[in-house]
Amino acid sequence: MVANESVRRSAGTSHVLPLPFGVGLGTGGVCVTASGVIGLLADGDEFSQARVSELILGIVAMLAGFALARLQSDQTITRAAAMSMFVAGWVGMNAVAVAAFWLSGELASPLDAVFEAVSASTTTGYTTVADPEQLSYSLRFLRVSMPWATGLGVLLVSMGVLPAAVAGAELLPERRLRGRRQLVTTVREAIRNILGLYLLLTCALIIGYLGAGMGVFDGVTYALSTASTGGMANHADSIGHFDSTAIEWIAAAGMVAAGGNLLVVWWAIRGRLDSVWKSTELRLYASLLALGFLAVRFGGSDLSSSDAAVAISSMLSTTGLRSANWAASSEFVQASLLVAGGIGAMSGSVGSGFRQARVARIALEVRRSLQHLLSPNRQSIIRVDGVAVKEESLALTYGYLWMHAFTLAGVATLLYIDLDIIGTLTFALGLVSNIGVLVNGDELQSYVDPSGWTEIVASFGMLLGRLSIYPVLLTVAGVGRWLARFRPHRAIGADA
Amino acid sequence: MMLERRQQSRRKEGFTAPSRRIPATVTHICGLALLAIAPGLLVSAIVEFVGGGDSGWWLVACALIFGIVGGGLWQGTRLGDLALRTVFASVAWSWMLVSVLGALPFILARTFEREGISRWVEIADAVFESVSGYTCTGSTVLTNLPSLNDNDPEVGKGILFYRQLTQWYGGMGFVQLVITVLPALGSKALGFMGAEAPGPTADRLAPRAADTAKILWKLYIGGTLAIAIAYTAAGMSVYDGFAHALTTAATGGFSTYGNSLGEFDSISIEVVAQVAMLFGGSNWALHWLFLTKSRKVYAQDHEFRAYLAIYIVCTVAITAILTAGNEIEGGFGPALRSASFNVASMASSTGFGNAQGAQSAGDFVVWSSTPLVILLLLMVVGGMSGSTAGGTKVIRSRVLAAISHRTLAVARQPRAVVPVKLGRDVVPERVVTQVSLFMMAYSALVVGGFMLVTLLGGDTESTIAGVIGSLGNMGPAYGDAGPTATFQDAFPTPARMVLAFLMLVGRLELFAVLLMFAAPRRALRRVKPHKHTF
Repeated sequence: MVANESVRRSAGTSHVLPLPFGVGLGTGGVCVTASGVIGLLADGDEFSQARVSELILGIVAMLAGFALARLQSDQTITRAAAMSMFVAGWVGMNAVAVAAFWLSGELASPLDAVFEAVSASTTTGYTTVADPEQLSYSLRFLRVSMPWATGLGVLLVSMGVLPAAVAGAELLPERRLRGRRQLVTTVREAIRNILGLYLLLTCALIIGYLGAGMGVFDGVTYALSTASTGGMANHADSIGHFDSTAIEWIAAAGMVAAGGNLLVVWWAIRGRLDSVWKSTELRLYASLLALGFLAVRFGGSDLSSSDAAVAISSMLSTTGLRSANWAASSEFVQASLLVAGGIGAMSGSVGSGFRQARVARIALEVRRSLQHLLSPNRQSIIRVDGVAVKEESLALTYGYLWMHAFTLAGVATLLYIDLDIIGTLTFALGLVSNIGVLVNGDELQSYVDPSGWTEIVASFGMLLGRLSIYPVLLTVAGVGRWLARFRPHRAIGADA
Repeated sequence: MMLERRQQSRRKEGFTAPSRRIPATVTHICGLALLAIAPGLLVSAIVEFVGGGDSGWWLVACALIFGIVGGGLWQGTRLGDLALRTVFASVAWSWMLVSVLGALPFILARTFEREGISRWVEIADAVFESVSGYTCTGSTVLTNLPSLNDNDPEVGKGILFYRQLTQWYGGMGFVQLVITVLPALGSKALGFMGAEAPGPTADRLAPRAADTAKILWKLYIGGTLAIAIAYTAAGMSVYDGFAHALTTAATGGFSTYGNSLGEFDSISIEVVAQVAMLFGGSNWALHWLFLTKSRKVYAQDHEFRAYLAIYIVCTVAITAILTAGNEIEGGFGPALRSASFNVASMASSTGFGNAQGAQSAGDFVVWSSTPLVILLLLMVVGGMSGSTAGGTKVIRSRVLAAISHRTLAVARQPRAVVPVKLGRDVVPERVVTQVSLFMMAYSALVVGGFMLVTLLGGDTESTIAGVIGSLGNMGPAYGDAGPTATFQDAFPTPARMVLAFLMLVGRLELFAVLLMFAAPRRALRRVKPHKHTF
């Protein structure tokens, strides 16, 4: 595994953080600069001053990021440091984005800017803007370019290219990832392959959306939003604004692809269909998509087939794009979609949530334990993709399940927002699974009007969900230990 | 004379006459369980006669049916296979049988008769009420419960007393009661206790499991009497005191009044109820150790400390939210009263309410979402292991937190060997795995139940709390199934049947019910004639 090869044990962690922070800063700078350029071209005179400051901010961030990225350390990287690097990169990108959102003057408060930036960069899709059409082109582009950049980072991590892969390391298909003509061989080739596939999906979506009748700006932004499972939309009604069956089917297909494992896509491109069908996770993903579609279409809703396809693919891939208000459908339809959102996308994809691979493992474990109760002498192993799963790896999955449950419960408890119990629970689920929609009475919405406290809790919840919990908690613990160094020590025998 | 001598000598040599009884463990245990309910029905009949109700003879008839059928099954069979799956199946089938047949008094007395419903719905309602009673859940579909000043109640006192008794029987578990009269079980009795006892393991208070069961039942009876006396001293009538003590000790939550304890509008009664609910929701073995061995057992038990901490933290949090948001008229005092009562009720899985009516202070369905999320989490956690309470138990939540901590440590240092610890104690890996599996199965049942009940017509808000509440044997839910409403308003009949099944699954902690078909299937397979092979 490339990640494991590069992760070496050492005590030092302090000098490895500037590099990822610089990369994050630089990435954020690229996004902000691109948004500034688009703003200058499309927004006209009204926003020109803000656009120029955005451009300056973006360029400064890029330069600073480039400078920091050159500060390479000779120190070897511990596993905890690898996770902190991931968080540092993410913080770097968000620092620029928050500044850009706030400098634009289009958001009500600095905390709104933080919430919007975190929501975008975690591919969640909640927004504090009631009508996104009122935003400048520049900000609308920034809201979709950040999740796209995050999506690329997530893919590199989940495919084991970057060392922070330890966040979901137990799900990596170890034996199938490496080898001749595989997706991940060298870091350079891996990045090229992953970027190529990601760009391919994005370009296909752009062409599809443009062909289905979207304008250029909408086509590009919705394609970025779909491919990254970000779910940020240019319209209050999301893609329902276009009222086009063709757009809905393209969006559904795009979300299904984005929520699928990139490795499986790679196998399919290479013509290794036997490997594709051996994938336990893919079979589960396909089954849930099919069952979910049937449940939504025929379970008591007046949604069309394309609307049903968008609804289930949006929830299962944790994208959050909407074409119809399924909150007004039957309770069963809502329950099915909420459960789908809780399960989430496949591992090795841009999507978030608890992940199909973990659900498959847990289902197999429950079956095994029931068999064991019936026949106590029976010994069996769990196989995923035809390969036996190590018990230590299973233990990590169960541990992650409870961490995920505690996170969800904690976020739901700490949110203090003017919503009913279902609204609060769906908001919490949408935060931790990075879906970006909530059920408010009979309304399905991405717009929220949170208090300052709720914005902080929600931002933390989105971050925990996107970074698979471990990196954030370990970074917080690391920061705590680092701060503890400055605590004055009591001399031995001082009391005496 | 000769024959007698020969029999005596054979007995001395260890020979016993071959029994004519059929070896059938499941049927034997089921028969005894039914027999154990008969005295309760007779007591209820006496209360009905004394209270002037007209269902007394139905209760007598039911007592006879339970006695004859139970006695017949018991005497016609003997203990046979005592493998783990048979133990689980015996416990599950006896609970299923008693819960379903327990509806007979309600059916015969036409307790659920009302206009516009078929006889089948009436029977389904009776079964729901019975299952809810025996599993100590406390969810009700009885809409015509009397008020305190009702001089002509529609439902007789005896029937209501039987309803209270169902929870009392279910609280400590009638299989545990059966164990006390089955010395032949020997060491296998602990398996029966484990299959019925709430929590990951059954506590052992004496070398023999049957003696442990006897101690627990004595303690249970003593605790119930003490609560009844405290209720009476706080202002309840003797009948009300005893009736409510039965369901408080069992952490069941049935009341003889429509407004539950809110009917009395008495702070002293609510304080007694809170203390008694927390007492019932804590480990009964601790109470025994407190009485017989050490006064420090509560302070030393980490699960009890966590249980109490949860109660205090949740009470403070909800009181603060209700006060800050002006959600309850009167400010801090009424907020504290409502918060502490409902937190105790949910943390102990009792389900009593202190609301004086819909939209009043204690009616938590009108509170803002954060207190409701806290109460929902309390429904998941529930009481202590070894208590009469439901939920997944505090100890399991602690183990899960410890597993999460271990996972984090392993993520940081993959080669580290980190044990799961509770305080200074290392939790054995076998228990860690069991707890994880239990919680996984629990989560799967919550999700599956949620989907199924919504498919059958339950609304999302009522269903989410209804399913978690049923699995945790809580009682009230949210939405239309709140503390001042009934499950009849919120769920269609088929959905209520699913919830009743979940109550049984929750009371027997999942695996017993999931395995209940395994033993009979194997027994049938043995009966099937084998093909001769030449």
